Amino acid sequence: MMDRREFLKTAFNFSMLTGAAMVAGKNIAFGAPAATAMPDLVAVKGGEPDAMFDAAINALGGMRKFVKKGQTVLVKPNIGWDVAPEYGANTNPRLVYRIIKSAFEAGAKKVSVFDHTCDSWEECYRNSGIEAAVKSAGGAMVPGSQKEYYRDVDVPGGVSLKKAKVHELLIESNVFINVPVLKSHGSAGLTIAMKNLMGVVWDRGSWHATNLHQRIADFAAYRKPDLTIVDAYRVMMSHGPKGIQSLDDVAKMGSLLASRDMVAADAAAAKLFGQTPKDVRYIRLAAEKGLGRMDIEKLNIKKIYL
Amino acid sequence: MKYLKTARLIISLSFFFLFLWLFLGLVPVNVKLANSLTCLQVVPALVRWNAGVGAGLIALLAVAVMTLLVGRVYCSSLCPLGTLQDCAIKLNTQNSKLKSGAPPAGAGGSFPKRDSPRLAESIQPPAGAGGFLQRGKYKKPVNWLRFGLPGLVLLAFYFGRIEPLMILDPYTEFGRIITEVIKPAAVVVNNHISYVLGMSGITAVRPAIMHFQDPGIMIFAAAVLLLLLGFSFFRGRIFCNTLCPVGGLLGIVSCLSVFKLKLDDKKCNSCGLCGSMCKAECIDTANKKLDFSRCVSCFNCVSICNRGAVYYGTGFPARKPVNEERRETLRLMLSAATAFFIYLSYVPKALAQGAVNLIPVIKKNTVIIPPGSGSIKKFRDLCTGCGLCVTACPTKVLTQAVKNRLGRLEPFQPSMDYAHAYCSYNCTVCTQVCPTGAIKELSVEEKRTKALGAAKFIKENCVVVTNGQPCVVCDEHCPSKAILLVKFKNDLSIPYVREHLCIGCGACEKSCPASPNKAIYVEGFETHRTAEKPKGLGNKWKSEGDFPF
Repeated sequence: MMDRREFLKTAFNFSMLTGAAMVAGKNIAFGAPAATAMPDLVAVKGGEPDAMFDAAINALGGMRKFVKKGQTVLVKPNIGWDVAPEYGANTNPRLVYRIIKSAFEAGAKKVSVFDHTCDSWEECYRNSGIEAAVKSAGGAMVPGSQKEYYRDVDVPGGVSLKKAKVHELLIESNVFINVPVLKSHGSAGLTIAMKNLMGVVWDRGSWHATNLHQRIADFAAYRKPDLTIVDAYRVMMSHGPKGIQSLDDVAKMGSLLASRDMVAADAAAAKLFGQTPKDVRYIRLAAEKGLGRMDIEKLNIKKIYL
Repeated sequence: MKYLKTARLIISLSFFFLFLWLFLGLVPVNVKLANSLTCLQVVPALVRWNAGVGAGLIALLAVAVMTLLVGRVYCSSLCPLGTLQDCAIKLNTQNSKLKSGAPPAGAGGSFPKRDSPRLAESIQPPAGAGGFLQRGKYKKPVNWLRFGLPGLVLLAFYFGRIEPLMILDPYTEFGRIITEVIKPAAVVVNNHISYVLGMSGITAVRPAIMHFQDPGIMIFAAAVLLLLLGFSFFRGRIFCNTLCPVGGLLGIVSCLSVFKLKLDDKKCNSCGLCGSMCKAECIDTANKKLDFSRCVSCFNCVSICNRGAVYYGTGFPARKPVNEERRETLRLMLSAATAFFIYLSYVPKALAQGAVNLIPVIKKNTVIIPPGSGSIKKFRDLCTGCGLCVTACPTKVLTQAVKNRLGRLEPFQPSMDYAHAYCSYNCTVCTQVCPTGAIKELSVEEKRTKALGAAKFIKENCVVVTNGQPCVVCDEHCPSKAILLVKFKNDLSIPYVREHLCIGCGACEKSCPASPNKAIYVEGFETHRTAEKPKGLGNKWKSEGDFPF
């Protein structure tokens, strides 16, 4: 067991190094075939969550671009609240289902899903519909409530956050797919992709009391998702992040965003919500740190209407 | 007749393990299972009836009719504490079998060998006109205690004192033992298994929440368990025939049973075998008499007797003439029992004085009681503290203590502790499982507007004020948006509590990161109120149109 872990750790560190090299080299590795118009961001509108995902992943070159045969995959939706899917407090279960299926189709060995929930985890998993979706897709629904699963890591280049206790699945999985839901949020203004990563951290309690926005931006550097899919199918426009279980607060945007750049995904989603990306402080901080781009007007965006 | 014991074993073990599973709460508690298990429990039914739920009376009548027909089968089949004691009794029987080298059943008739060491010492000349062997297991009943105590306990309950029932009710005691002593160990094992399996990708075993409650109550429950196991190991069902109020009550009822177990005068040779197997020590084999009012219907005697001398017969014993001297003694003893009872009801309070004050929080004045319990007064009178709601509570916000910090509840009665958890907006499970009617059933809609208390904001503690950080986690967690964000300074906001929307669920208090003292906490209501239902704000979002980028 430890051997496998050690191996994975080394593999992961190596991939981090390569990642760093890629950032330094301004996306040389992936950027090379940019001539064939690999979009920086895909925005889909008009379909059901699963159909929108299929369209988006095709536009990004298919799931095989992200998941290789025999790899382990972590899908991280937002399952923070004990709220049913129609209120948009959690990621849409149909989207999660489709992503897992797609990862398996690409040859994934194992697909795990978890969230360190805010409300009690069993109720969140059940009421969000995500546990059922994950199970029927053949994925592993992992509890996020046990401290034993979390390990201390250093956060590279952290301004306010230097260390965090993160779930071992984030450390060990070969591929990391972040699947946030777009919604309003009390202290962060909006919660999308970077904010969703608070759900892989155990000791996040103090973040709110100490520079929340800086810490969200800092943590974004720890492990950037290989793919970020923003669920904007049903969007909680007010009373977020939990909501009061009122459909009045929910806008049926029927949209989905996909990108390899988490910051760009957040920026585009903020715009979709009706805000200016630089006004959401953690987006600006992350962009300033060079973790991604928020100047979406300069990005190569592919829009798809279903 | 021999199948009676097998049937009893199957029924009692099924009930026992279902009860055990229920109280361990390793998976979310199944309300239907909980209700069907607890519906026939005598004390919960009694309290439920007192709470105004008619079903309680029906359950009592059902048990009474059953007992009137065939005696105290309840004690051996339905009572989980009875079966728990049987485990200890079985241990002793097994042990002595090994020691005495008794022949295996069926080997040339199962009369005990005359020369076996254990029997040798007990072979005595015939004690009276009875048989050849007196095993000395028959004990005289302690009538003043076994009938006096239930009477006093019931009288106390009638006058609104539930404490004696809380200590002596076998169902409650069983629940408390499992919740406080067995469950923590089970959770540790369960979570370890869950973690180890989880490492190999198996998520079938879910981790359960480790719910540390007041250590005082754990010590109390462990002491009760040890005493109970000790007593039953040496003296069988002595608790059931001396202290148990249900045992006492059913004992009285079973005096009138239509069918009673009896020893056949002709077939019985007073060998003492049945007496030695009797859990209730109620078979006087020398005189061929079986005291049916103490018999818990375990049918050990029926299955062990190879002369078929134990049988179900009808009829009542002839009345003995009144003994004036004995009456006087009885009266004296009754007074002694009263003193004992008063002492008993103060034991937990005395224990409580020494209980540790675990969680230092803000100065609260009123204890917060679970939704559906109505008012502190009602709840106090109806809750026996069995802990089923605590087990069923998915967030473990319900917590029992020997002494409630705010001192308004009886020992063991659960209250909402927002230090570690809060009450889930969508959950009504405690209102569904409560067997005594102390927590009345609520629909989810009713629960969402049931105000247990109201949040109070302490501006000086808030991290927005002290650290200048945009925290407002309380607002994020608030399910009814009772918290309104108001401008503090610059772009910072602080919470303002709209009491008409607040249901006192504790989400704000639990999530508040301010330390060492929280900036928001819930102050309980004496009597629950009804809050307004929050309304959505609506939105102007239009589905038509292109992406804004």
